Parts: sequence; structure tokens; C-alpha cells
Amino acid sequence: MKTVYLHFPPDGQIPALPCIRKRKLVKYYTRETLAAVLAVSQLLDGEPLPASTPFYYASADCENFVCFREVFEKYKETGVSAFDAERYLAFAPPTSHFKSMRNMVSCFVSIENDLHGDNNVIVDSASALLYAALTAPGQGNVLVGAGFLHADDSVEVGFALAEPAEFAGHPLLGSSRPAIDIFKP
Amino acid sequence: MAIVITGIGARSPLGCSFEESMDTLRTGRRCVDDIQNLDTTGYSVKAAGEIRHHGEVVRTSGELDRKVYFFEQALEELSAKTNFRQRYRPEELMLNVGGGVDYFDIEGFFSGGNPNPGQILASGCYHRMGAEFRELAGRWHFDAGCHLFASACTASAHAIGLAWRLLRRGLAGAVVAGGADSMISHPSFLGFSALGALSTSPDPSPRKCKPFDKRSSGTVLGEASVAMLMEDAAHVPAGQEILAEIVGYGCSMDAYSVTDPEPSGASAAEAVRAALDEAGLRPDQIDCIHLHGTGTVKCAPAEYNCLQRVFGERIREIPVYSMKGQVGHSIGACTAVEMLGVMYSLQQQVVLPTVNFETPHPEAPFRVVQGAPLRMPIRYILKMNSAFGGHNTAIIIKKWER
Repeated sequence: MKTVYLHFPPDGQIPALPCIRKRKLVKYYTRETLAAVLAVSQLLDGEPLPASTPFYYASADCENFVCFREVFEKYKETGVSAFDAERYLAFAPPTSHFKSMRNMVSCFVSIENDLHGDNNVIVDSASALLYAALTAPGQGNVLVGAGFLHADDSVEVGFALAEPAEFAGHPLLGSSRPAIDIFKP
Repeated sequence: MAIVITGIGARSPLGCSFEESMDTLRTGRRCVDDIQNLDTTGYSVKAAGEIRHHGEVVRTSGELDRKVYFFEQALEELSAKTNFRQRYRPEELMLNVGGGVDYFDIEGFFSGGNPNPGQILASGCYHRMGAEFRELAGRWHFDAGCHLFASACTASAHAIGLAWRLLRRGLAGAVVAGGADSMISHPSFLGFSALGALSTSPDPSPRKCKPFDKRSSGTVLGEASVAMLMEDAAHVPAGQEILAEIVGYGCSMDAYSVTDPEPSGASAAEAVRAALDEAGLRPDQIDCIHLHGTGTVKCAPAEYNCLQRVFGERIREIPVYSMKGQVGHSIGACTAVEMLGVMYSLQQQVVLPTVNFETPHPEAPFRVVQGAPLRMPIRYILKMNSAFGGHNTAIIIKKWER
């Protein structure tokens, strides 16, 4: 099984830009998305995947509130402490909502790599990710990945390209461990 | 092997039990109205489908994550109906739930002082879906796994689809699958308002969401928690009702846009073809289609183009249905709540009218039922959903025949 695991510290640059084809979409990216796109690029090493390749991705339970950060900063400057939807909306950039949606990493990795196949987006669970891969339809490899954007902005991602049968008997099937543990060295 | 649904527990705008939901579908009562359980000051759209019991909105405090609260109630209903906790050992029981939007009591957080993102988790106002469902799964002894899915509007379809695959492979004894999401919260309303996805119709709240209609202008949000027991028919004891059989599932990815469906429908059509292949069916064996039908401007034309690729010109003759005009869009739970409509169609052998549909969309000339329910023999229903981000799902459900 071919795997890639990347970890970036809180202030660590994620040198993903050279491998991004749809650069107009980068404004929607979080650090997890950047790291994921980079990891897939390293995993594939220039060999494109068939468009029908199944792709399953798991994001960790949220502990980093990217989508609220910018708005809350602007809110603070006003000195107003009570919640006011109209004020909040005025401060919220249109991109902020996308940064709170769990399926965006999957969406952008798919767009970047032109993946149209079977898919799933999982919250945290190694077990669900492994079961999705194990029961993937069709022949050939599946792409699986997991990411964890930590509260301090550090980020870790892991990806693997493997045949479904390679996940059979994995010790994390049925466990409550986070998906990123599948890829940690 | 036949994978069947042997019970459903439901909390949704349709009602607070499976039976109440069926009754509301029979009457066609509109369940979307002005929001009661959230202060909508500052929002231009104030309509939503809130969970109701006998027509009255079930109110809860802002500190409560409604989706988990109502899902546990749906589980209790399901447990009473199917006895699954006595019939299966904990290590055979798996929980697969689609949801994806964490609940954040943002008003409560602000009232606690300075809004600082670094303090959100410590404040206790933020409810992480993963952590809360893992705790619930522990209390209910789903020891074979607690699996949560977050592909937005297809999350509960993915939950049901994976459950079906696992059961067919013998990798679980029984799976409680479904969806739990509540969009009746400030973060959800803020997000969807910012995206401009909500209906701009000048009509009153119950009439704002118009699936398949030329006057579609956006969707209306909703909430639901629905739990279904899925198991191998061979394990169902005598006397236990079987509601339906799932015979096919497929999914695909547009890889096209963050928000818009791929307009040609080519990728979504692959999901339908995959489901048909799994079921061993030809397109002409599908009797009616329960669609995603959000009431957004681009939804119906993309769905029409998709289905035309699979069904050809017959798509103009196949009756289609969307539940969202009646209950709103519960995002992560939408497939699960819409399975209630599928069960109604199979039980009553009717295709229901799509609430609020009046004027056919020129780019989506579907056969949408209006007025009275359309009575017809229904053996196979295709259930389709699509999501922000490009996910498409197709599930084929068969009338149970012993």
C-alpha cells in the first residue's frame, strides 16, 4: 500500500500552490485542504488516477474554527458584545461558510484530480473510512485520506492508494480511533 | 441476500413518530412556516421546517443540540418497534448516521463575553457531532462501530448506502442507519444566507420552496432525525413487519463546482447507472423517482438532464416527487427523512403531489404530480440526492415481497 503522511506545525508553510491546477478556488481552502492537495500530489507523483477511482476522506472532529475567526475579529473591533445576525452577516465573507463544511476537502481534491467515482465523507472515524474502502465497488485502487486541523493551526494529513482487499483485517476496523491514525508512521 | 428496512423512528416536521409522519404525508399538510425556535431578527428569510408534534413546533432551549436530542428519541421509537437491542448482540450492532453540521449556540457564546474563537470549545456552547454521537453510541452499545458521514445533502444517503454494502458483505449484523441534522440555528442560517441559497419568493413561508417549478428561487431549511433498522431479511423474526428492501446503491462525484450541480448531469447519471447495475435492473423497471428537488434555481434542470441520460424520453412520463416543499431541506438528514416518502409511496401505491409545485420548469419538464396523489402500481422507486460539493447518490428501494 502506497501512503503519504504530512505534518505541518502551526506556522509552517504548506507548499501546495505549484501543484494546484484550479488556483481560483484556493480562496476557499483551509490549511487542511492545502495539505491534502499537496499530499495527493506527492502520492500520485505525476501519474493521474482514472476518473472512476473511488475516493473516501475523513476529517477529524472540529477543533479549529477557521470560519468564525475573521468575523469574530471584526466583531471585537466594534465593541459590541451581543450577537446580532445582521452585523454578523455584514462581517462574514462569502467564503467563510465553505470553510466550515466538512465535505470541502473531498470536493477540492476531487476537482483537482478529476475524480468522479464512488465517494464518501466521514467524520473522524478510522473504522468508517476503512469500511468504505473495503466495500468499494469495481476493480482497481481506491484513494483514501484523512486530515486533522488542530486548534493551534498545525495540520496533519494522510493518504493511501490501495486495493480494497488490502484494508481487510485492519486493526482499526470497528474501533473508535480517529482516521488519521491509519496513516501515522 | 435481501437487505431490508424493518422499522423507522422519526422526528421531523412531519411529526414525532413514523405513524404521525405517514399521516401528515397523507393529508399533505404544509410543515414549513415562520421559525419559532430561533430569533430570526436580522434575517431576510424567516421560513423553515421545524420538528413538529401534532402540528405544533417542538421547542427546545438554545443550549440543546436538537439533532442529537431528537435522534435519541427516534432511536427509542425504533427500538420499541423492532426490538433490535434484544435481537442482536452489541458487537453485531453498528450505527451509521449522516449529519455533518456541528451545532454552535452562538447567542449563548456571545452572552458569555468576548467572542474569541480560541475559547469556543471550552465555552461548552459548541457541540461536536462526532463526540456527541460517539457518546450516544456508547450508551446504546453500538459496539460494531459508530460511523458519521458529512457529505452535506448526501450524508444520510452515504450512511444508508454504506450500511447496505456492509450488510451484503456480512460485515455487520444489523445497522441503524439514517440522518440527524438541524439547520434551525444561527450558524446554519448565517451560512445559507451568505450563500444566497435561500428562497427569495415573496410568498408566505409555507409556500416559499417550490421544487421543479419555473418560479423556483431557492430552498428553505429544515431539520430531522430519522433512524432506520437495516438487516438481512433472513434474520427478521416472524411477526416483525418489513417495510421495504434496498436493492441498489450508487454514488458519484461531479468534480465540477463548489456550489452548483454539473449542468449536463453526466456524473449524477453514473450514480443512477451504478445503482441500477447493483440491483440488476433496467431503467424501464423504475416506476417513480423521488428526487432531491431543493427548489434552487439550478437543481431541477440538472436533475432532468441527468435522468434524461438514463431514461431517455421516458423521463417525461415517469412520475417524480420532492418532499422539500412540504418539510424544507434538512441537509445531512434529507435522504433519511425523504425515505418516509418512499415508504408512503410503497405502502399506499401512490406518488404524492409535490407541495408548492404549480408551473412546470421549461428546462425540466418532469411529470410532477399535482392535486390528488397518483395511484399506480409501484414496485421499484429510485431515490436520488445531490450535494453542495458535487456528491450524487442513488438508492433503489423495492416493495417488500416475501
